[in-house]
Amino acid sequence: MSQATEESTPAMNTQASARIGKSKWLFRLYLPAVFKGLFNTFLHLVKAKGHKTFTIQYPEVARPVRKGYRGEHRLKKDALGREKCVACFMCQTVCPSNCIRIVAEEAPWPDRDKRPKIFEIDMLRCIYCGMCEEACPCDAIELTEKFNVVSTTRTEKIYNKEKLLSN
Amino acid sequence: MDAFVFYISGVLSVVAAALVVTRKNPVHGTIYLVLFFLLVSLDYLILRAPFLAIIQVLVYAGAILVLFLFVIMLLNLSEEELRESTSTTRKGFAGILSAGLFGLLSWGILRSPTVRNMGDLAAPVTSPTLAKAGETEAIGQALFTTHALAFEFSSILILVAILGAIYLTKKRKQTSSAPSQTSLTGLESQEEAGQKHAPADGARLEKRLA
Amino acid sequence: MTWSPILLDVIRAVLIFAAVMTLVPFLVLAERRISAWIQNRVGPNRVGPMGTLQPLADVIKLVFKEEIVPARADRVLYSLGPLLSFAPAAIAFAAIPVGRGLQVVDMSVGVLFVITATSLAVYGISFGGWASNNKFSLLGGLRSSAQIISYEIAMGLALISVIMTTGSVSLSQISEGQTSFLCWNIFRQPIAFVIFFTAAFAENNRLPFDLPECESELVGGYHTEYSGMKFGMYFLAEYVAMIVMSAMVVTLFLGAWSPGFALPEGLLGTVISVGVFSFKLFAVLFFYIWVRWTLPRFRYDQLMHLGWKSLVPLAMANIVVTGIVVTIWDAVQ
Repeated sequence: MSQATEESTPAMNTQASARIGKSKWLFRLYLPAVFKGLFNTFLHLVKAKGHKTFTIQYPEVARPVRKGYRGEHRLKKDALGREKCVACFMCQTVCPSNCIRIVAEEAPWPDRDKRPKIFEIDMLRCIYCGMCEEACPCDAIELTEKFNVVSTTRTEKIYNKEKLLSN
Repeated sequence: MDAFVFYISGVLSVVAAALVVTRKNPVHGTIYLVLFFLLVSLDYLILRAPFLAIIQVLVYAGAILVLFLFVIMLLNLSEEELRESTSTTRKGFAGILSAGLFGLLSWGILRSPTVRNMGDLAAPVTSPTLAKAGETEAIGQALFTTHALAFEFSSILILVAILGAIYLTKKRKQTSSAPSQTSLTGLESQEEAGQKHAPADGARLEKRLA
Repeated sequence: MTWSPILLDVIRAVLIFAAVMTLVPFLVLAERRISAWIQNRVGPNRVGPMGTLQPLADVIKLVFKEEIVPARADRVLYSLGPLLSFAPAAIAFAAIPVGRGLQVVDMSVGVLFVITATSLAVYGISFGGWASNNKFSLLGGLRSSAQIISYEIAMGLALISVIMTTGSVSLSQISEGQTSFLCWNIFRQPIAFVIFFTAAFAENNRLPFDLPECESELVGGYHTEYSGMKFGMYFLAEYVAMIVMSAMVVTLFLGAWSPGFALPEGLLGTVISVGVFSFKLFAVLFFYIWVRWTLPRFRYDQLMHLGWKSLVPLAMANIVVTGIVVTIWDAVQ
């Protein structure tokens, strides 16, 4: 037990001995400190000093999602129920993990030239950086607050256009 | 009943003792030695000496062999090192010596008047003092009255042994000035503890603190 | 020799063994819940009401887990290790009186028997650690043997002063001698109590002295390589040893089964005595758990210094003082 004081740096040593003062033997007896600690943990045990349990009982109680949280993607629709995406490939270009795959086709509507035939995001590759959302000129893609997503196969994690539109 | 237990434990203890010396691996030898001590303590129980029986296990199996084991495991010999065999002449010499010792002991025991006058050991103990002879109190009484001198002498012997151990492990002046006392691995401090290094180290520390 | 006393012995042995074994899972649960409460968490509360079936789930998991034997491990010793660790602890309970006259065997050397049995548990840990063929396991085993040897001495010396005051090494007689409240050995031998309790923590490899399995240095210590029910056996052994040591603390220092005043004769008194003993046992076990989640682990050299340079000399001084007091007391009487 004397080793503890010996091995500390000189500065710490003087500090400690100043604090301990004359009752060095009492300090080396350990027992006062032990009982102090025991008292402290007991207060925690009975939650006496306004201690509260921090655990969130997850499936029953959802943890509040912070503002700006980046979860799963969603493709937005306009007022007519069509996807806003015009297949400009901006998001695919900017994506750092290269997880977006777009195949364009000619749009049947007069207000735009193209629309995506295939729009796939590989969620296993995605790093949820939100760059696609920022790059999109039409405000067609955004990151939702969904985070509790499970799937049992890898193919399920490649989200297609329908999945993203309904997300 | 007692005789039955004795024969079984006797045979087993001889087997265990034989296994102790024949095992190549010292750790296996230790196991059989533990077994041997337990069987010997059973013999003490048959002789109605529970105190001796317990002390036999507590001191030999519980303490001394643990230290043996500690050192064996610390060395942790590899299989190649274990395979090294001793020469035949040495084995023969050891065999002759053990046989001689065995003969001498049997001769001494068989000729001893105390053993001869003991009578039938299988007979049930009738006298109440004799029945209590192996109990803690009786042994304590004998130790501190009749055999007080022998007891004190043996304690002096042990004291001398402790002093010797402390002297052997005490670090010389030149080395002790080096401040590298910190043992980070834990193994070093275990070695210290195993070699009863702590007391000497302690004395020096106390001096430095004062 | 008729069969009925043997049958009675067997029944008693099985009863007490079963009681200890059923206590273990709930002790594990208590440990987890109390640790959670101390750390402002919730702890296991999913399986069964308030998590009471969690121990069952744990056991099922352990039983069905794959058992792995490391390559080049000493197979026999590897399997023997958990058994050697568990058996002595379980045997030790035979000598402890759990109530007035309720004891498997009333041994004349009961105290020594329990201490011997618990000290033999070190073989299980050492052999298991050695047989695993793993550096961490070996270090854990080594630490365990050195630690238990060191603290056994302090424990034995503390016991001697207790035996000097009670004048007996029989556990039943020691508990009979503590019937009235002021005769409890904790009041007659407070220093021995502190030493014994501290050494008991070290003997059981419990925090703050759990160096043989110290996670932050040795992965898992002596049971690093163990899995499945073999690991479960070590786990069981640790908790059984803890129960035995707590029972020893209760019997030796806290008045055993006595509530502090004379109990009524007959069956009622016996039942009350068992209840009182269990209450005290649970209190000590709670203290064990409480300490574990309060104190940090000792460093190895600190452990050795505490054992050899504080507890052993203190226990020796205590013996001398006790001897003088006992002699004067006898002369006065």
